[in-house]
Amino acid sequence: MTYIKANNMTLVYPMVGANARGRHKVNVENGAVAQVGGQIIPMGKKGRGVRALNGIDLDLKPGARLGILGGNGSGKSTLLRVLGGMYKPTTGELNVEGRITGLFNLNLGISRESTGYENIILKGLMLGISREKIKEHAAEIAEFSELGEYINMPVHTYSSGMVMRLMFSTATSFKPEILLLDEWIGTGDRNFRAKVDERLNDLLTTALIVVIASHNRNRMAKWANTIIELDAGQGVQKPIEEFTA
Amino acid sequence: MSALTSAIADIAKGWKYRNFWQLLAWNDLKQRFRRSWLGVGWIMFAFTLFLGAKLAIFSQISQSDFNVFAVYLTVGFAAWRFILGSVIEGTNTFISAENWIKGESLPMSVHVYRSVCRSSLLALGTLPPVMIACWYFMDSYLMAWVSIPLVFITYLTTAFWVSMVLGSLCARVRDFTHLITTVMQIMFFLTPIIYEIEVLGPTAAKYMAYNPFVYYLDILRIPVLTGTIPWNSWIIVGCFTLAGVIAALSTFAFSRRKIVFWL
Repeated sequence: MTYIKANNMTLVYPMVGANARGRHKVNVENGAVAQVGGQIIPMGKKGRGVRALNGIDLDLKPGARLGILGGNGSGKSTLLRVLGGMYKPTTGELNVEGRITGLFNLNLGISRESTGYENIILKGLMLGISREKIKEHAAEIAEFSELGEYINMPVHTYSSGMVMRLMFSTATSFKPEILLLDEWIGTGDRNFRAKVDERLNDLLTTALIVVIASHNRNRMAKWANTIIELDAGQGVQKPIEEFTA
Repeated sequence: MSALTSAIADIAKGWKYRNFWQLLAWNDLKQRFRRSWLGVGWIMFAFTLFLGAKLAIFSQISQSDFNVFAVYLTVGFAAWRFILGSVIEGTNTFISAENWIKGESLPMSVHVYRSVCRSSLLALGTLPPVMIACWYFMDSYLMAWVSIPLVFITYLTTAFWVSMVLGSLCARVRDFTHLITTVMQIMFFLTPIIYEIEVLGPTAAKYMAYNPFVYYLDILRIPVLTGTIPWNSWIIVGCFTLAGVIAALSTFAFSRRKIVFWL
């Protein structure tokens, strides 16, 4: 069964090269804090780290629509990527069951020099799907994304909205069991946003977990059925009834 | 599961993604020659051109018969190109894969396979001129045909462990990328490729025993040139390979889950 279960999860980014030439020293001694971002903490002898997540618990079952809210640098994207398996939690536990697809930002998980079509092939092969099957998907993706002939042009010729269309259409066409989306997905034009909403609803009926990180409280209040609000990497998962936009 | 067993599991899992990394490696090459008329044909053309020029110049200072020197240079230069390619590509194994490492949850070994595949495809492009030169300039020996498959396996294994070790090292400490590029340029001149060891005289030739690249070239060059198997060189290469594989597994076990933070 598809599920996500996190227990007291913490993630610390090491600041690699914090002592390299030409870098300003990052002060932590006086408990210096910023208005945004995770807590900067000492690591090892001279190193520094950023505690981006601190003691996160999550429990998501099929049908869960989790909205991650929080200010800039509060840990939304980090939490998404930890759930996606890119970062391993520094401490605590994370158990994820299910085929995951994540859309984090427009430069990740895409080959900008390759054409849209080649990128679809890459994603399909990555999921272990045969080339014939991928070709069927490709036709459907080209149609849903409305990219038309652009599908045969290199991705670097696309506008960011077009890249988003390609990525979203591809990711959802291959029917993931867990879908992780960063808020930029809502940046499509009105026409495409309606299609995005429709497809997300379709996906949810096939017993899925969808997680979206966003700033848009009103939209989350309508869409999500559970919410976690992050502040400096901390937050508690609540049912939507306890959330006020 | 211990870090070592998960590292080995990662390598096994990465192999299952072969359709994916083969296509990525091929796209990398296509990208490199994008919008040129010759396309990937440049690999073969540039190699042949280089070889012709080197042959014209350095056959003058060689004491051997021209035909023998031609094969010596061709085979040695092709092997060097693969070694150099694997090392240089190896330093960038993870750095150049940043967008995939941060964007998808793939086994880390996928990026190592991709890097090795890319160097191998480049080497494949240099193979036709090498085969034509060997066929044209001298008769082939049975021992050469026997040892070539083994040499290829050894070279691939070497490319794999080198990518794993250097890829992790260079992702963590970026200075190594520059250091290794420089060292490899020096090593080209310190390795008998465009000249024969005999040209150097006895004192300098003695120091060649400390250059590991000599042994890697010997296992390919000597059977092709003389039809004998250089057992000593094989033993040394074998030891290096074993040590390299152990080093790679330990490095990979240590760094696998940390690399993403270093990019």
